[in-house]
Amino acid sequence: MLVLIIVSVAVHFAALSLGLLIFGPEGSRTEAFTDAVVSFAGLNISGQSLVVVGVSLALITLLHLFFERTLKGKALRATAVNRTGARLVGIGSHQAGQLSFALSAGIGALAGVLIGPLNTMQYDTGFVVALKGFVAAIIGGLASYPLAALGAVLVGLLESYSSFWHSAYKEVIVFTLILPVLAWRSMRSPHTDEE
Amino acid sequence: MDINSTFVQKALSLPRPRIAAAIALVVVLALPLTPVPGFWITLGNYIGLYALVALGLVLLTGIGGLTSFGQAAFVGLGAYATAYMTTTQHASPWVGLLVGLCVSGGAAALIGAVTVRLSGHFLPLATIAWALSLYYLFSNLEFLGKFDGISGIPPLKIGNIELISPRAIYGVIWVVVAVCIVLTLNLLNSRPGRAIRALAKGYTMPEAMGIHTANYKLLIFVIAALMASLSGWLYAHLQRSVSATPFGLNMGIEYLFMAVVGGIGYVWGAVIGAAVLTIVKSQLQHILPSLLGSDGNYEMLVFGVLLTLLLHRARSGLWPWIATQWARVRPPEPTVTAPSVAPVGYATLQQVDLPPRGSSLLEVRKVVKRFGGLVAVNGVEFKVNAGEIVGLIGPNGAGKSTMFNLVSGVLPASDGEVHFKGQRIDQLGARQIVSLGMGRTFQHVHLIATLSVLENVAIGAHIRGSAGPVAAALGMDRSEEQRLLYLAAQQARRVGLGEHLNILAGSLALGQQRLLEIARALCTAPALLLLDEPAAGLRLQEKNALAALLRQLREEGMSVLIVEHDMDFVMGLTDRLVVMEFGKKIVEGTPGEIQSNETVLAAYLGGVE
Repeated sequence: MLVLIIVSVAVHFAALSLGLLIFGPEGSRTEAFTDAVVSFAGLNISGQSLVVVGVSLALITLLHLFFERTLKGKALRATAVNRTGARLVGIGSHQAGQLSFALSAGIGALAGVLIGPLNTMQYDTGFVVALKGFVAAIIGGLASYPLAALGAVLVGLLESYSSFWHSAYKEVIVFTLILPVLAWRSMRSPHTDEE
Repeated sequence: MDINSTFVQKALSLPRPRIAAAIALVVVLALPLTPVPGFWITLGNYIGLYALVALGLVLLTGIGGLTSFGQAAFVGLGAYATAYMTTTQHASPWVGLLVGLCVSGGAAALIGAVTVRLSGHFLPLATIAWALSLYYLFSNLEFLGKFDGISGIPPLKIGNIELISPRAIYGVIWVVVAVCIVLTLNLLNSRPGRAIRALAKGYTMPEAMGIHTANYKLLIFVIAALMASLSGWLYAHLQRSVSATPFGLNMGIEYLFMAVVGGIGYVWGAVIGAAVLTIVKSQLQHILPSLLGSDGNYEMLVFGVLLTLLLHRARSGLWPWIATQWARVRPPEPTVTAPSVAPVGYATLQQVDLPPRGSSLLEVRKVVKRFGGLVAVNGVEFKVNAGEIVGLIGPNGAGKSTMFNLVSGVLPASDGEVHFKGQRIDQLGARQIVSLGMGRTFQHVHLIATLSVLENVAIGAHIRGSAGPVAAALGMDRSEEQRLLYLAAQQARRVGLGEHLNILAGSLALGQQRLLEIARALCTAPALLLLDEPAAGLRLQEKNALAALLRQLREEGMSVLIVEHDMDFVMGLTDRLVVMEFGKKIVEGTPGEIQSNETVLAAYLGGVE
C-alpha cells in the first residue's frame, strides 16, 4: 500500500513538471460562466458560485446513482470491499481500478475548470487545493458524498475565518484543527486488523 | 513466500557484512582526505544528512508500519532550535543540539500521542497535516525570522577546531550516521526490536503477546523524530543559515522516497536510497539541459518517471535487490541463533508456578456478546480446572472463536463475567490477561513471515524479559537476550520445530506454522493455554505428536482449552467437552457422554422432524 502512495506521488511530480512545460510558470484566470449576480437575504452571490454549487450537487447525485443503481458502480464497490472475491465473480479488478482513477481524475479536472474563474491558477495550484479536498473527503470518512461535501464546507469556513482573524497563521490553524477531526474519525471507524 | 525473499532475509542480517560495513565506513570517512572535488564532498554531506532522516523512516514506516510524510518538520525543529540558541541566545552548538532534541522529542511525544492511534489512511494524512502546520509556523513566527529565516549560525567546534569547510564537518556527519545505524541495528535485534516488528502485524497479536503497542508506536515515532532533529542540527551548522523551505511537505515526501527506493524495511536501505536519490537528482540537473535543451524544466518529469519505473521493477527497494544478487554468490547464514546450552540465570526464568491440580482456574459466568443485533454468544457458562484439557466444539458459526476472544481479552463482553485465577478479567485487555498466565493461538495464523522461526517464537517471550530500548540499542541486553532465545528454542523443540529454528516462518507449511504459534504461546508461561484449531493442516503423525505434547503439558499441571473440528483428535485427548450451537452451550460432559448425546448429534448432523 505504501508503494502505491509513493508511486502516485512520483506520478504527481512527473505530471506537475509536464504542466510546467506545457503551461509555463505564469498563472491565469479564465472568464466566468456567467456574470450574473444574485441577491439573496442581503448577500450578493455570484453566478459562478451558483454554478459551482449546482455542479457539485449534480455530481453528488450522479455518483450516488452510479454506485447504488448501476451494475458497474456496484462492481467497483465490490472490488473495494474484497478484491479476490470480486475477481472470482468475474469483475476485473484492473479495469475497476482504471475506471475509478479515470472518474476521479475527470472530476478533479472539472473542479479545476470551475475554480478557474474564481482563483488565479498556476501549474501547481492544484496540489494545495487537492490536499484540502482530501482532508474534506477524510472528514466524510472516505465513504459518503454528502459528508465529504459538508467536510469541504467546514474546511472552507475554517480557512476563511482564520484568514480573517490571523491571516498569517491561516494554514497553521486549518491544518492543526484537522488533527482532532482525524482523531474523532479514526475512533469512529472500528479498528480492524488487516487480514 | 518465494524463495528469493528467503535469500533476501537471510542475506540482510549476517555477521559477515559487519566486516564489509566496517570497510565501507572507513572508505566513506577517508573520502575527504583524497583529492575528490569539493562538489562530491558536499554531496556526501547531504547524503549523510538525508540518510539520518531516512533511517528514522525505515524504523517508523518500514518496520513499524506507520507512514509519515512529516519527518522534514522535525528536521526543521532541530535546525531552528540550534539556530535560535546559537544566534539569539549565544549558546554553544552543543546546547543547541540538546535543546533541539528536547523540543523535537517533546513535540513528537505530543503529536505522536494523537497520530499513532490513527488507523488506515488517517495516519499519513495526519502526518501531512501537522507537517504543513509546522512548516507554516516556521515561516510566520517573528523570532524565527519568518520567511527570511536565521543566518549567521556559528560552526561546530571540536576543542579549538572550527568545522567550517564541508570537508571538516563531513567526518562528524558520517560518524553520527554510523553510530545511529549501529544503534538501530542493535535495537532491531532484541526484545524491543521484535516488539517493534510485531507492530506492523496489527493490534491483536502483539497485545496478546503482552506487547504494549501504543507505547512502542510512540517510541519509534519519537526515535524517528530525534534522528530527524539530529539531521537538522547538523544541517544548520553545515549550512550556517536556515529558512523554512527545506522543512516543508515536498522534502518530507522526498525523505519517504529515499527510504522506499532504498528499501523501506531495511536499515541499509536508508543510506542507499539517500545516496541514489541525491546523486540521480544532481546528475539530472547536469545532464538534462544538454540532452533536452535548457528552455524547459525536465528534472522533475524524468525523476518522477525514473522513480515509477524503479518501483515497478524492484518493488521492495534497491537494498533487497542487491542482497538477493549477493546471496546468489554467497549464500547467507542465520544471524539470530540461540545458545546451545542453557545460559546463566535460565533456571530462574524457567521456573513457572502452576496452580494446584483440580483448583478452579477459569470460570465463564453467563457471558453474552452482541454485535449490533447479532448475539454471537448467549449466556455461556463453563469452568476449566487446573491440570485438565477441555474441548470447545460445535458446528461452524457457533461462536467458539468469539468465546476465545472474550476470554482472552481481545473483545469486551457485553454481559456476564469471566474469572481467571479468582480474578475478574472480562473487562481487562489482552495484555493484562497474558501476564496473568493465559496464552493463546489464533484461528488464522499471525506470524511475521520475514523473521525466522526462532525469532517468531521469541516474540512470546516478551513478557518474560524486561530489556528496554535504550539497553537494547547500547547492546547491554545480551545476557537477557540469550536467556530469552534459549527459552524460545526450548519451546520450539518441544513442539517439534527444533530442526527448523532458522528457517523463515513464512516458508513453513501451515500446520507447522500452527505449531509455531503454540510454541510462541508456551513462551508466555501460561497456566491456561487457549488453542484455536491447532490440528488443522496437520498430518496424522503430527496430530499424534501434538496430542502427546498436550498430554505432557497436562501432566505438568497446565490446562488447555481447545477449539477443534477433528473429532478423533478431540475425543481421545480431552477430559471434558463443552458443546456450543448458535451461541449457546447445549451440552457439557465427558467425550463418551457427548458422543452418544442426541442433542449434539442433531446439532451436527441435523435432526429428524
